[in-house]
Amino acid sequence: MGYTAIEKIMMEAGQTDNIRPGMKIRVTPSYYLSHDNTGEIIDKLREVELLARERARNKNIKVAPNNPNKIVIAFDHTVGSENPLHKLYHDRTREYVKDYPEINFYDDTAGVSHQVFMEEGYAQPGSLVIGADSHTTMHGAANCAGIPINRTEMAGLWIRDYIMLKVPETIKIVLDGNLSKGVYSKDIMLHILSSLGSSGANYKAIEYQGNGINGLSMSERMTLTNMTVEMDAKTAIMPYDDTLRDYIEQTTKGNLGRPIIPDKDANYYDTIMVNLESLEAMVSYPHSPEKAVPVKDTNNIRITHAYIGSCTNGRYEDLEIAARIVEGRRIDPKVHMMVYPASKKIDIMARKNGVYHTLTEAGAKWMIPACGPCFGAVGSILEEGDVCISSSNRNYKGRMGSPKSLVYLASPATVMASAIAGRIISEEEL
Amino acid sequence: MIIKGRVLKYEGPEADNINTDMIWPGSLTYHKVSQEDMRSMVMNRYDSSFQEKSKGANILAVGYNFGCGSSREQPAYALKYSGIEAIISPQFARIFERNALAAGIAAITSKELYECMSTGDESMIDLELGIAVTKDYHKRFEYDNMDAWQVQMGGLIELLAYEIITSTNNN
Repeated sequence: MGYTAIEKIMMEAGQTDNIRPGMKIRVTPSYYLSHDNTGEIIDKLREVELLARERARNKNIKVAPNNPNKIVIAFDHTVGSENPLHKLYHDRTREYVKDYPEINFYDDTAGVSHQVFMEEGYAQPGSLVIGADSHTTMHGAANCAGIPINRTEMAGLWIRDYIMLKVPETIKIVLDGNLSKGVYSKDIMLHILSSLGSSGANYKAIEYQGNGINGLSMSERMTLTNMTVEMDAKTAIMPYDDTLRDYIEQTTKGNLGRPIIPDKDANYYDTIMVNLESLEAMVSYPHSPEKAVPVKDTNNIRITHAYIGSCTNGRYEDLEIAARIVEGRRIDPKVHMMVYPASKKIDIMARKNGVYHTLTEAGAKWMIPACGPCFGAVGSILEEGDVCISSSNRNYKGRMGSPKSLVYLASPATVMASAIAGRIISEEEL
Repeated sequence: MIIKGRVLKYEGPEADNINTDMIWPGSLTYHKVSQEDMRSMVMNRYDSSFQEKSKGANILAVGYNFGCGSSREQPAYALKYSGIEAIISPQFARIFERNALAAGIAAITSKELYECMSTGDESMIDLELGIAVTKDYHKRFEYDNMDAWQVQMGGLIELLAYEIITSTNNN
């Protein structure tokens, strides 16, 4: 019997040729990604060091990363924060990387860690990437496996250069046909979430297949793989094709890796068919991404805030779509709209190509490349009674500020149309 | 590795989808909080009388999708500091299950075991054998032996320190 994409990647990373779902195996990733939480990972290494010294009564024990050239760090979560504790953690990391010049370190001007990781070409076909952030699933857009873990485990990975991972079962999601005008990959994701639910892919890998992928840009694929974690998937993998090859050739490292094609007789836990033609613009109600309905079924939901940005939907294409919609129009003066480009590169491109000009002229507030208010720590944090429409990934209670604020999730197009109208509407209804 | 002790169980629809923010407030993620304070706040947003109810209990039984939401690991550590050694659920959110193991808590997935447990039961759980005894029930469950070893060591930090000491001694 054959193997699915994740099984093949894990066999390669585990140097084994016999695996089956449910087995726990030892794997060595190509890269490990962390962000502002690196300060805490460094603390954990120190904790291990002190404990080992104490137990062995040996003051000379030193705990260091085994393979520092695999570490990739980009600050994003608390960039722009005035909180001294946030600054302390950043400084701790800056000090640490001085001792290890092999570490791939991007300070707080580069952008959202996942976006930087993709742009720089660390996500290479066939490889295994481990990240200390749940949205690490995004890197699967490059035909690799991005798997999220926690900080203590990341400390373990730095020290050991391996991690024990359970081989997941695979669910195949087949995208068929093309999206209608005014419908985007975020709408595909919200549609899938509304039917599978927030634990619908618990411990499973998702493999995206089907001719519908041909029509999706890399940016759109990243939106899908990024938010696949919202159904509790372990990882999400897109196929290798010309679109991906072109993208990789443009990245800094440009390494084509070893493309993974699942076997024809691979064993899937389930297969889900999605007909892209029948989809329409979607919006998720508070307080869960799975509570998604067609935008046309909403009834006059007034908004106070609009946010375009995040690792899910803050790429150049997303900003360009928003600029196209708002061209010649104005944002409702009662709506506070923020735009956070997902990286410095995107920021520069948007300024060069007029996207920045169009959006700011229309009344949007242009921000720095970072996570911003997405998880409620930095930026314009929502207060009691505020209602925000957001292109980000989570709308849990209190996620973007007060537990008494409301967050609706939608595509950048729907966010832009809603900001113009002052209430939730789709691009088509505008 | 054998865990013996008393059960605290939550059931009904309210016991499903208990998310990380209910276990531990996300707003405190980038704050240093003492173990004592973590004990006094854990699960508060879900059940304000958790501290009262969990006195003397070291085995927590909870509904589906326990620990869903963020990848933060403070929720797992907060439960550990409040004395929880094992959590039984029909299904854990993936990252929480890993976080519990990193903290040295045995997260056991078993619908059967969850269903036959009641608050106040005196139970015994053998991780290596995969057997739990509660009231008159004997239930089998699957648990990885290397994970059992990590729980016995007291969590990943302890295990890493142990590995470093043994490799230093061997050199």
